[in-house]
Amino acid sequence: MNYRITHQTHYEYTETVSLCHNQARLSPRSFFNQTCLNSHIDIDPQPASFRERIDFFGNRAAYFSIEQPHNILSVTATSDVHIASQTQLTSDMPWETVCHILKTTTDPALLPVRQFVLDSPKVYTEPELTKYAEPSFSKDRPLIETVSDLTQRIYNDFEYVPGFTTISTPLSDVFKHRKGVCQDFAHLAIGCLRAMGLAARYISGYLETLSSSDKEHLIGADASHAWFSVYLPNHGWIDFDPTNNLIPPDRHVTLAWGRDFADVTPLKGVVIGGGQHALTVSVTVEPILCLIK
Amino acid sequence: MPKTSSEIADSVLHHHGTGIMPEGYAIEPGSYDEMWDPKNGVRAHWHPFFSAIENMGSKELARRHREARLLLRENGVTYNVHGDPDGLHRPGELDPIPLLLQANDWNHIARGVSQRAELLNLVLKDIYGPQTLIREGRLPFELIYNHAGFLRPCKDVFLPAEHQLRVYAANLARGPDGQMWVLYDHTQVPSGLGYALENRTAMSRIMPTLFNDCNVRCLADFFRTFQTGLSEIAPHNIENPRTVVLAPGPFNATYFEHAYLSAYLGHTLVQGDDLTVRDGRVWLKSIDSLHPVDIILRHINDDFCDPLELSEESQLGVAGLLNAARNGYVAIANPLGSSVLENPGLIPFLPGIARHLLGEDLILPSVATWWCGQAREMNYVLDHLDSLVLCPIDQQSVTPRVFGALLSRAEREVWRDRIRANPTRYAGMERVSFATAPSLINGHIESRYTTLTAFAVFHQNAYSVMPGGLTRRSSEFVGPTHTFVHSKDTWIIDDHHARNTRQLAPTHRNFGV
Repeated sequence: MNYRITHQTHYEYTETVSLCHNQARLSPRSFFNQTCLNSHIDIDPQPASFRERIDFFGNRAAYFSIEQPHNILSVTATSDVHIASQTQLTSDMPWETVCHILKTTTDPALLPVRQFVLDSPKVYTEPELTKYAEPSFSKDRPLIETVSDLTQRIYNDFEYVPGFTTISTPLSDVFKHRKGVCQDFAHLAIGCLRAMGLAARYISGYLETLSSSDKEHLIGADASHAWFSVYLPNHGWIDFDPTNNLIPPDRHVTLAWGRDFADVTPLKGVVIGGGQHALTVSVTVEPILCLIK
Repeated sequence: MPKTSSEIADSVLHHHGTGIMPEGYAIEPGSYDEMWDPKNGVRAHWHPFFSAIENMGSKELARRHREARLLLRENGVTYNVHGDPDGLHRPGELDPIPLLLQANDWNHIARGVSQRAELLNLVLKDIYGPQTLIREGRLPFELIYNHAGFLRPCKDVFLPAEHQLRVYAANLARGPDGQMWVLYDHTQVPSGLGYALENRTAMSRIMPTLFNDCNVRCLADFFRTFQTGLSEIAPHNIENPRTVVLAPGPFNATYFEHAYLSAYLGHTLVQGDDLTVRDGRVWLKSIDSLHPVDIILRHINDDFCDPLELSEESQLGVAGLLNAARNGYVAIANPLGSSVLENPGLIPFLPGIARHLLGEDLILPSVATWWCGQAREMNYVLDHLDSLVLCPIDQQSVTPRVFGALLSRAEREVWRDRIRANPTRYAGMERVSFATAPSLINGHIESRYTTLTAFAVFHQNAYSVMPGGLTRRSSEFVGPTHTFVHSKDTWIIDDHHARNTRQLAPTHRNFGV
């Protein structure tokens, strides 16, 4: 499938901003089953400098600054992406085997994977996460089945309540109140998996919900979405979406991945001045049949 | 204070009869004393100093001590840029009895410090570059990836120079056998360097003739090297680069030191607010214009230097700074991310890496350390909490270093659980007993435990080590962390008359150091 994503971010300030520095991870990365066909970021007012680089995790990160006084900042990222359909994955490797491999391997090629077993700024493994995870981790259960079960439990046990949490709500609060949004559920699952010794990473991206074959409404279509990925030796990373309780087929568009949200924030900035600000974000994901380059 | 006086200094001290020496100079059994050799009495390199002190007499010594205090207070007022009526406070006092180190002894120490800086530079370059040490299994990856100072945005960001570690400070202590040990590596900022300079300046004022009589090595050349070494990292090899010293501001306890050092070096002292990034470059704000900044000597922890890419909570840094460094428009010493080397867990791996990368054994050993990321080492630490200093591998941790012996039974269990839950984040370090040195205590000379901070700076093609350092005295047995108490000047005593008497002309003072 091919999609066009339009992601608009609009800031209105009560006072003039004299200078702002920003970092955007708004251009989709390419990997084995996703190709970013083209992507550009329109910024108004015109940035004084704009530079894209590849970050530590291989994501496309853009730095830009606006050095003229402004009261409104508008950032629009438009990207065309091709996603290959995934074949149904079959593997009966038990989760314990995966943990063992990750723990004992000396293969340097697995270094980039093993970093996702460790704690990260927003996700640290605590005993309560282990306790929550344990019922899914029965002896010798295949990894895929185990993680599907955990995903389903999070979907059942936690209520999707936009606005209940903010980007700085700690995981322990989400856990306590059993409410949150996609970001929180992804963090929660990642914490559970890491607590058991598995490698899990955070995915920032989008979800397409408008395709004609689909009647049910999936959550996360009108904003950026988040889910997680778990590592399975000999197969690679497998995505799970705990907000919608599914293994993403071909309608999840990946922007970037990292240890947690802090590594892949789509847009953040430091402004000088500005007073209060009002933020509006809109995302559209449209299937496109032929590509106009 | 040493608890038992098992050894009493004999007539070598008594015959001075000045009243400076107490009836006995007591030293701790089993520990090394810098001045007193149990077999042969006062060590030879202390003789000229004590003769001079003897001639001076205790009243005169007390007078000069007061003069030193006054000088330090004046400095506090001079550098009090924010008009606090009490002046800027310098923590701790100056002990007018310096630590004297004999030249051969010192040369060995200096070679060791320089070698360690060389090694740490290679490790730093590898961690933020190809990570070969990790891939080849010479460094466990958790030790780096679990350290809060491993700043992922700094990967592949390098200074335009072969050597990334530009300044280095080593915390040293002498063990019972007289061997110097490395307790701690300072790889972010050369903290203590300003105090070392101020101590020397004050001492050269109150004891000017003693410097010549004792053949003390000068520091002036080192500070000149410091200046030129720093200018070697200027972006695009520009001439006359503008260097600023970035400090956290007057509310930080170390602000005086930054003010003093930057004035001496002739660099502008700035805070984050004084700088701005525009057009991808760093600029110093002034009333009517912006001046380009080429080199930043930072006294701010690396994580706090850029609220855009590093810690968002930081009010001290400059947004866009890391991006400017990444694109080569500004050079920061030490580079952002170098706090990853301030890591006690690295210690057990350094000897092997030194043999592998340098083909050498470490000249100065580190204090024995067990990193809990390995099962056997963890069990050792859990079984020996009483005799170890327990340290998180990074300083950002909420749990500071502690002596296992000082913990209650319950606290020990908390530590055991903490280590078991996250073993890779902790290390245990042997509790060592330090050497003592003579110190002025209530008008008398007594022995006190001391540690020494040595400083190295890279210049041209080698590290040069300051012939001196900041000696800190403590009243009781201390471990790798201690609060700043009394400090001393450190004199390197040449056997023959010093050839090096050149003086660096400071910007606004008429004496050298």
